[in-house]
Amino acid sequence: MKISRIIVAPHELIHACRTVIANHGRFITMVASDECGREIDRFVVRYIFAHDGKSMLNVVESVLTESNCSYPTLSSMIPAASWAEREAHDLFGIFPEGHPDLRPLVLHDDWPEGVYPLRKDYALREKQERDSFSSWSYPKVEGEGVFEVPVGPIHAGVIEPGHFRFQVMGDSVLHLEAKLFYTHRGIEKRSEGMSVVKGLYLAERICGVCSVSHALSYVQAIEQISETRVPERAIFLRVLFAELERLYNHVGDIGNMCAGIGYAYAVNHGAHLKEQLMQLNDFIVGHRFLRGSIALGGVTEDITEEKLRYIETTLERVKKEFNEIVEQILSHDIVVNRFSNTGILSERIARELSTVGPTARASNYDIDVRRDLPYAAYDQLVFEVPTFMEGDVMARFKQRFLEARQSFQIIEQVINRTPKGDIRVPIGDLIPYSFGIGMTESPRGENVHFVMVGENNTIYRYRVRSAPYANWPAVPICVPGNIIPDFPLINKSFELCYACCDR
Amino acid sequence: MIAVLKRLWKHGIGTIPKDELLHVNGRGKLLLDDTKCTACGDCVLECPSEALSLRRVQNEFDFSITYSSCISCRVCTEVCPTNAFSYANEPMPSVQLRDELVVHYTINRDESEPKGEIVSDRDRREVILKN
Repeated sequence: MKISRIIVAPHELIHACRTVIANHGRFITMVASDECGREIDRFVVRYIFAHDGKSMLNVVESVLTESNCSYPTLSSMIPAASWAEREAHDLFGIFPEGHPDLRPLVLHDDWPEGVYPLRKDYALREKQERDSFSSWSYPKVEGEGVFEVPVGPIHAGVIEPGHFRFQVMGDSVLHLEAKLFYTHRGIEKRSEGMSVVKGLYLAERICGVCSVSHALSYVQAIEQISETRVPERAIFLRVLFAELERLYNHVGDIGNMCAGIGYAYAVNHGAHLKEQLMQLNDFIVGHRFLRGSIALGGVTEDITEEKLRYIETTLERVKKEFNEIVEQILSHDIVVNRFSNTGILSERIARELSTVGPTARASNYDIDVRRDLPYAAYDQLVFEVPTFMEGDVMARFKQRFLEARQSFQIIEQVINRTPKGDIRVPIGDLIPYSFGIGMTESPRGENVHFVMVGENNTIYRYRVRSAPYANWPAVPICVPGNIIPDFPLINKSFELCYACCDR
Repeated sequence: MIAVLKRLWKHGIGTIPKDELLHVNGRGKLLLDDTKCTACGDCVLECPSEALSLRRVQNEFDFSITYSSCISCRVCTEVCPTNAFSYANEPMPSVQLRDELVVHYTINRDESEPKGEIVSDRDRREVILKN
């Protein structure tokens, strides 16, 4: 992937980004960094745009001085940049002028003002006194007959923490406000100064269920910096692991979505199939979530011919059962009734918020990193990207089903076409203060890692924009107009991870 | 309805046959090839769960692996300059007492330049390098 850099003054950022968008650039994310260590005064903001189909990225950069670290916001032009700018405001204290909503995002209201943890002069284990009397301010609907229902951050069930406030009139939701980032663990801060070898293990653990995708994004960023050419066999095996991950996620999600309407039969059978796929993962690489399968410069373990045959027979069986279950789910009247026209995400909002993955594709926003900016061996494989027009829960359900069927096909091709050869090469030298951007398609969508290396093969700045980070802002927009009992269903249909959003 | 009943008859409700359960058990037990180990201590410094430790006992080194802490993450395998680590194809051992989960290796390397004693300190969560 080619990266072309455009360096401008802060007040010219808007014009530069407008030009890139006019040339069909798709906004991906904004990365801020504190680069005082390399004699730059002091902050650098980078707006990253992708040119789909051309395998090219545009990075619009600007340096902000410490004395005047404000710049005109881009959120009014690119709504998707809103979260990234708020995050930079929280963690670096750089100020996007004219931003419509600068409430705290990553650090909650109890975090002391004027303390910015991602600045280089903030020590890793420094503790802060929290102000437990501070309150959360958010827009709300008020009036006669309007009630507020708080949900979370601790939920009934083994899910991650998120806090939701519903303003309701009867059963219908008028407004939903979500408060996330309860699981912000400071992974980006932790990685600074870590060796690039160990950074891979941190990347794998950002999220429980997208380990391969995160690891792959990370190693691709590092390989881009060091210009390493990964052996043919390794890139095919990487596709195999990535698709096995997609498969167990989609199969599990198909079952889980039915939990939103209390259809226990489908939930259990989905879990049954997911378990078979996870035991398959355990058998081939020794980890149910496929951790430790991707290495810098290749993959860690070779998959023998015998294992490939075992994958083939297992998937044959799972595929048959999977089709059977989905047919049964879709022939159930209540399922059709509850799934259809629920939680509609319009195409316009999907595009404006730069949503990714099955969420975007179910709203007729046809993007897929595997096809548009091919990585690993995807450019040598044949597959389709299913899209739907409706944007409701049903569309997201069917999209996942068709995508899982494509994954079965991709794995079949990989099994038959994997060439012989090396599985790993050593990575080349890393030039200090150069950066790489790794992009992969996780089961939840496009997963972007920005890695800048420092001296002695350490990480200088690491920024992760996972798929849920791009999709979360769309969830509260879909819920108003539906009834409260539909919220779990809508939430499950997006199937967003809290941990890799919060990092 | 008939389809559902047929399926239930064929597969049961979300069950996996007993003989297909847990045919594998993770990556297996971490082993050290003590003839290859040079007692450089890189793995001890990188281990995220402090499962490894290296102590100097007179002219030899005592290398220990604590299985109760090991998370099979592979960092040690990755950083080892001599590829001394491997995974045995058997599950992690289970015992009654925590201390029994520690295995010791004695490493005697005359030619290597010893870096000193490396002990992982649980309370302070940092690694001490002593000479």
